[in-house]
Amino acid sequence: MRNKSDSSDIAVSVRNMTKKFDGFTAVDNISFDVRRGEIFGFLGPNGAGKSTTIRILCGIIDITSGEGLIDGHSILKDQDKIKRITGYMSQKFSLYEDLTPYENLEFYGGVYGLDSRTRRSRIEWALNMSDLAERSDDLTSDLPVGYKQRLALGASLLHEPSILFLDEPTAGVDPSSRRSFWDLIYRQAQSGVTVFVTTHYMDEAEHCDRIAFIDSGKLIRLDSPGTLKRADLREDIIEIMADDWMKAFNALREKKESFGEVSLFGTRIHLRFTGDDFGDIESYLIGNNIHVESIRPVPPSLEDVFVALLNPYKNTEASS
Amino acid sequence: MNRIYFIAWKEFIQLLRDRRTLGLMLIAPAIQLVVFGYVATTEVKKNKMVVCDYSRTPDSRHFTDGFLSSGYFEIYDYVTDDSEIDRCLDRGKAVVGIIIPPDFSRNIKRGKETSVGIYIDGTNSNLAMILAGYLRMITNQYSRKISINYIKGLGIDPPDLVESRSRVWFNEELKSVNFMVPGVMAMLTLMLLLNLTALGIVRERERGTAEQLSVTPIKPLELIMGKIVPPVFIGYLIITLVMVVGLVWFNIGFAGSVLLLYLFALFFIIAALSAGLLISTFSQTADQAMWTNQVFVIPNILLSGFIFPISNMPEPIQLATYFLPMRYFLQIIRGIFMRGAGFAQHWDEALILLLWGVVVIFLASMRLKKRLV
Repeated sequence: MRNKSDSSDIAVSVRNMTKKFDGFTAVDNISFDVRRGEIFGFLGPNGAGKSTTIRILCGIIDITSGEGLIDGHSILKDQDKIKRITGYMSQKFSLYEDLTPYENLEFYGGVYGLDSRTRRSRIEWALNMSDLAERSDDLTSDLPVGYKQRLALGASLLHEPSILFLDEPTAGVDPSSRRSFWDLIYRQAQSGVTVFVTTHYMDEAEHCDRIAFIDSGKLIRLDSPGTLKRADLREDIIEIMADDWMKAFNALREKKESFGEVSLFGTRIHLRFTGDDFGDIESYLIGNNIHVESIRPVPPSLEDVFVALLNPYKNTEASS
Repeated sequence: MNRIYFIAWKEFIQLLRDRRTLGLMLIAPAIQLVVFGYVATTEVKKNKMVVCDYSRTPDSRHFTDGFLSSGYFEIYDYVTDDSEIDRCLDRGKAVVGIIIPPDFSRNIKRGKETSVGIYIDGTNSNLAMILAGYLRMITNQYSRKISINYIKGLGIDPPDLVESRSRVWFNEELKSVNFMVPGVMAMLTLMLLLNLTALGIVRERERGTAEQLSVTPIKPLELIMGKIVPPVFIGYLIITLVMVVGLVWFNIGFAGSVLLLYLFALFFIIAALSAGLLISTFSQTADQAMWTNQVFVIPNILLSGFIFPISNMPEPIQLATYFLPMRYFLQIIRGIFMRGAGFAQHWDEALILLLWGVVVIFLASMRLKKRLV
């Protein structure tokens, strides 16, 4: 993907990007490309450097070293061009709470320089998309979170950007609103918009064409969800459900040399099984007076991959 | 240009939507104006006086009457022992004590020099100085009168003596409200506008809206211009309010041209607004901005000549006052209000204000270019 032949297919290109805040390295020498028209997921724990990367690419904060190209324009030199072709939706709601949805859209349409005809039609589009046509004259502060989220998306799309940056767009939104929000993202991607989205929801990451795993400012892995699950997990995932799941989890952790790494998914235990026969697990747990409700192999989820990717990395960090 | 319009439009809506702040912004000046108009007066009237008259003669009575008829003093008490004067001054019952010696009348009749004891409470040194001046003046008048009478008594025509007849120009009644109202106008305009814009950028930062602004094609200078436009109207509203109250309520004189006042006021308004915006760019929170405002406002009030004459200040401070926009605006509006000054007298001060505003707007947009969020 990093060949030079098809650079026009690359929407965002990042080379050796580093960002330091007072000696703390938030983004550590990362390089990657985002293809035109794909949904590119940026996945990682809180404080991994996801938002910092997006904010550098959108020109909100300066890069310490390295380079970024948006549609071939340098973030160091061509901010004016970049701002016209990118849309950005921040993690925290960043429209005016004391304006109405209509006034917010009118303002952003105006500062993006849309002429009054285009502005009318785009505002109408955004209000319909965000399901706010009927509440366009309410104060924005009175809207439920899900509506605000969609309004923010509408505002960031008013000027029809070709690249959309979404920084944890669904944080704090209920599951059904999250689903409808992702439908909107899909629709944008279908119409050719490149979507660069950060998240720490694994199920959302599954929606992406490709995912970059980032932790402590470093890019760990970049691939499609399917490839990640196939290539990065050699072990089988065994899901164990027990009535006293905490006791079971602790018991299994003590035997991780023979059974493999364990992690908790809610009340379910996932074991990256390194042994031969998972019948051994059941007899071990029963021997520890734990009632096992079910024990079965399951297809790996992205979360399993994520846990597997982060653990060895953390260990090498600690030993180095 | 179009972007400036949309920023100003948005700021107008936000300004008008926050009714409570808007109301406070108009009530606060009204209250302060009344307070300054009535209370902050430098005139001294009816100061309490204790008299210990050991002479008890028509002469001594005549002498004390001179103080009372001036209107500057009134009798708190006549006492029979001079230790009572101490007590009255100690307790703050009176600010002036006068002791007339027993031989007062006798000495006058014999043409001999006589002296009276005068005690002044110096707690308020300004007041004490003014009272000392009045006391000296009234005593001198009395002395003059008796010398003339003495000479006449000898059958000689009294000589023509030098008499100073000063006439006060521009504020003939020496009403301090005439002097105060223009000062209050400058002070209120500065304080309110500074608060209004100092929050301008900070609020966008605190609420997170600066983040969204900074991904739009808005230029720092456009943002600043857009944020300055709506408060200019507030500035004119305050100036008009102070002027109406001053003219109608306090009956102060207005000698000059209203149009000129409004023109020059624009430069001061812009200077005040740009100062607020610059402070805003240095502040991460509203609290920081409000306190930084104080650092700017207090020297402007104390050192601009609003209360204390600049010519009485130590030289280095006098030089520092050249950096205070309020100094120039005060000179302009006092000139227009009281002397009826025209463009020719004050264009230079107006120009300095204009330059001040331009430089500060430039500095603020440089600051924003580095970072809005």
